[in-house]
Amino acid sequence: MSEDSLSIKIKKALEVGMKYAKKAGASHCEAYGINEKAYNLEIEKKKPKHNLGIMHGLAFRVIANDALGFAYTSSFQERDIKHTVNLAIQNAKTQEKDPDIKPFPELKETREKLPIDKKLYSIKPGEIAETFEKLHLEKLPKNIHFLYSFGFLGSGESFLKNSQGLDLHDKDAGYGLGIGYLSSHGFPVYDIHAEGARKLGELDPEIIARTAIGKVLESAKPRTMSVAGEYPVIITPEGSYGAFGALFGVLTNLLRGDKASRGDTIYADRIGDQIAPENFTLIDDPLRDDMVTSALYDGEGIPTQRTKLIEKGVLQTYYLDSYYAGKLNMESNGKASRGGLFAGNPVKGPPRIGSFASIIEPGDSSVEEMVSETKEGFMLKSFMGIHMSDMSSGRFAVTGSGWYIKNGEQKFPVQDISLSGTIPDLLKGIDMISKERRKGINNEVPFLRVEKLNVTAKKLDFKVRFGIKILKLLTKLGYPNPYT
Amino acid sequence: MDEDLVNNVLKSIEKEKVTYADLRIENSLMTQIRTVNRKVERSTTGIESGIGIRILKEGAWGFAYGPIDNFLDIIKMAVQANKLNLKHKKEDVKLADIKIIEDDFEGKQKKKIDDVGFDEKIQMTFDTDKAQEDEKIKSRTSVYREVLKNVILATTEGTRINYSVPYVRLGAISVARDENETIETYSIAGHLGGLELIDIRTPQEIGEKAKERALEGLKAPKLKNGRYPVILDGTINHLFAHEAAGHSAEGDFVQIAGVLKGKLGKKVANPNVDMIDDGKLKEVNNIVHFGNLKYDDEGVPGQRNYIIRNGVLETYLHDRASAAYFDANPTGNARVEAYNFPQIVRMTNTFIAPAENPMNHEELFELIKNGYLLMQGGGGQVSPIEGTFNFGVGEVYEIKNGEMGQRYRPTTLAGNTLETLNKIIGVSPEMGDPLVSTGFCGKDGQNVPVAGTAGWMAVKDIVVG
Repeated sequence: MSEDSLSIKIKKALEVGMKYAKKAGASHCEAYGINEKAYNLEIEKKKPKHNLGIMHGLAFRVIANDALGFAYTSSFQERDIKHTVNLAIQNAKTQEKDPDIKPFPELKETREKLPIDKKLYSIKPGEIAETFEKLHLEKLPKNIHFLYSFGFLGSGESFLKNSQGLDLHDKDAGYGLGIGYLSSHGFPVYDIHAEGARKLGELDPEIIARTAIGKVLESAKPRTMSVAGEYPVIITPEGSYGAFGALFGVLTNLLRGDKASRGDTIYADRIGDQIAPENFTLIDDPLRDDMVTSALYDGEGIPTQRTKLIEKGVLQTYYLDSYYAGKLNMESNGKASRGGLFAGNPVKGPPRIGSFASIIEPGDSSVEEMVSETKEGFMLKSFMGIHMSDMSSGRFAVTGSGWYIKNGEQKFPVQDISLSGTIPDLLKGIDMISKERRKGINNEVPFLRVEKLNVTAKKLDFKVRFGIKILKLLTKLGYPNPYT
Repeated sequence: MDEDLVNNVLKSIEKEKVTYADLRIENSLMTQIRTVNRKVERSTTGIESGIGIRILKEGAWGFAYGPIDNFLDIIKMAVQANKLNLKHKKEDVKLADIKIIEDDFEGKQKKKIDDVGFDEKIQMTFDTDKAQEDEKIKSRTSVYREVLKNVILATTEGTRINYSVPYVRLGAISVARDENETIETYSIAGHLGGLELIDIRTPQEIGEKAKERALEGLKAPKLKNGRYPVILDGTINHLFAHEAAGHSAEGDFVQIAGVLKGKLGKKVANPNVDMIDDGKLKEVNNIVHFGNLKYDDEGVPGQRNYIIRNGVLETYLHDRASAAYFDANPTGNARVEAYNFPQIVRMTNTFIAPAENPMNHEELFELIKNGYLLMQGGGGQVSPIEGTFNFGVGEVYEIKNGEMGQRYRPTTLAGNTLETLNKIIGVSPEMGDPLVSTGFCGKDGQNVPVAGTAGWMAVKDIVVG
């Protein structure tokens, strides 16, 4: 394989681009390159889809005429590199002068490299596929069907240089496994469980599969309900920061420094305000080396840091990169992200503000207490329609699924529960936080109970419910179930 | 076409004794400009260059991608991927036969994107921004995006298609705020073609529309959540057809699960419903729909497919493998975002049309009598297994005694696919504005352009808010 020679090619290409940028009139230049080996595994029912690839490319940010320009290429021809730099310069020169523009950051400190499992660089796809195979259990509980499984392995290196002398060479590697099952108990539902790790062997495929089965069994045989009004809602860790339909993605947006600088979030000019209860603390921690999103430097070379965004309910800061930190007269807290491992080709856009790993500190209630102290309400785990939320006010109207709680007991799974409100009201309304936390791929958060949220739901039409009963009867008589 | 390169790659692949292989060599150009409050927040220009190779050997696929110069490594990786797939395969992948095509074509551009300077493109976003100005509009975002896809598709069967197809899209997002409320709305226009788009729909019109929706939405009262009789406009027709029903009809997905699995030839919708996916949708006012394709990414011509005809599920959408699996013909729906993805089944221009009793808008109002008119669908999320969906709605009007009434604030609608398909009680026949339902559909991490604004639909009831 010629990946090493590709890295040499990338380093040379960055040099060529940097030198040319100076010659072509850029006052400052930043060059970024990536060479990453990616292996994706997937089985949908009986269909395996294993893909291998080399993610590669170069990105240039320049400052010219006191404005910022960006361009990228995945071609390493000298002609294309120079053309790309010219595009970035042209891009900058056609913009108005920006009085807030500053040179790219200098290197602030040299850090030890992230612990990397070298085996992830040398492992053959066939070997990782063996771990993947162990996800597939031979025996499944009744009415639980395998839906799909997936895995990923990424190992690569990135290069970041700028005209302020910053010169970083980073290596990163990790892998992940996940599996989804479908329940045909009553109305069909599915659930997925996925985990990621930076060290080979840290993931136990059987535990992942059994966790996924446990999740789908907990949600099996869901009912629809006719309700309208304000109810207490317990949001599970998957519901707030999970990988599928998480509500607090809206909060991350509301706390972005670029939005705060433009007054484009309800939390603009609110640092120091009590925006959540006193036992609520939200942290972004890129230095958690047990998460696949961890990083020592952010996308523009600023050392990353553990940042308390909300401490004891008080807004402390925003997610900041160097540009918007400057605009807000603050210091960057290293939240410029290029997407990181497994998030698409990072050369395709300039670094943008985002979170690395979201941590909410535990509270003092147990989940059991949260349920037992709920007279009538819901525990919800995933939400559909989050991306249509208003990222300025934090208003959301989503359809959730989870469980119905009555007289302090978790009664039965529910779906099609419409939930509406705003994130600021939701945060203020948190009245219980669990001691127990769950660790996700890029988060570790507790269960949160919100005192009251607007809930609307309507029972499925009689015809559909009747259809399901007929389907069940036919399946019992030996006809194939179309959902499986 | 770089024939030498294509021949070299194919020659090297043939040494691997494959049943079939295709390669896609891409050198596409992309520009995106995003301004916020008349400041360029993000502007990106890029060259997307690489090769994707897919082989079929011993009944299993193998796909790999990477730099064009490394094609020998990429072939080795595809063979490696094939070996892993062989280990897990339960049944052979077969391909439906197709007519072999050789073609070399360029998408139409009356005003070529290359002929317009970067400064003019930035000015378009500034013009879009200016049109959104108002003291109550607190944030104005304008986004311009152009792509010139330059792709060579070649297969071991002899297909050779070399194409260059452009698309352009301009949009505005306005955030209006008063002391109590914040409303975010948008307006968009896009087509397959060049910058003549701006002559058809000006940046001012796009900006003003987003502003008008935000300001009117801010003034309007909030609709009480509940289940109501509704009329859905052509954009929501498309959104519902695509998100709620269309994904469930994709031939790769339906092999696994979904509400339309096992329902071919069965009644799944009201008999007045035809649901169509049309990759070669006729131009409306010389505008080429965003989801149009001359050939899909396996070299199959784009075509008009009736997924549902007279309420009966007539076909799924197929690539060559899913067509063979269902013993059907390929429908021209194998698509990719770029060279670094394998082909999967995707929609093109998808919408619902009246199978019988086409109605005009007045008749739809009479049919609903009292309810709401929901217009300008946006976003959209669906769970095709459970058959549930959730969409955004930009404009809401009351229908009172068959007449259009008061306007309400933007909201959402939610429902169940099969239930809603059966509750469509009237559809108007016209095709709507082809510029507005221009979106990017995401599946398996790939985004491809899709469209299909069509007629209005009366639905007996649906959850709003």
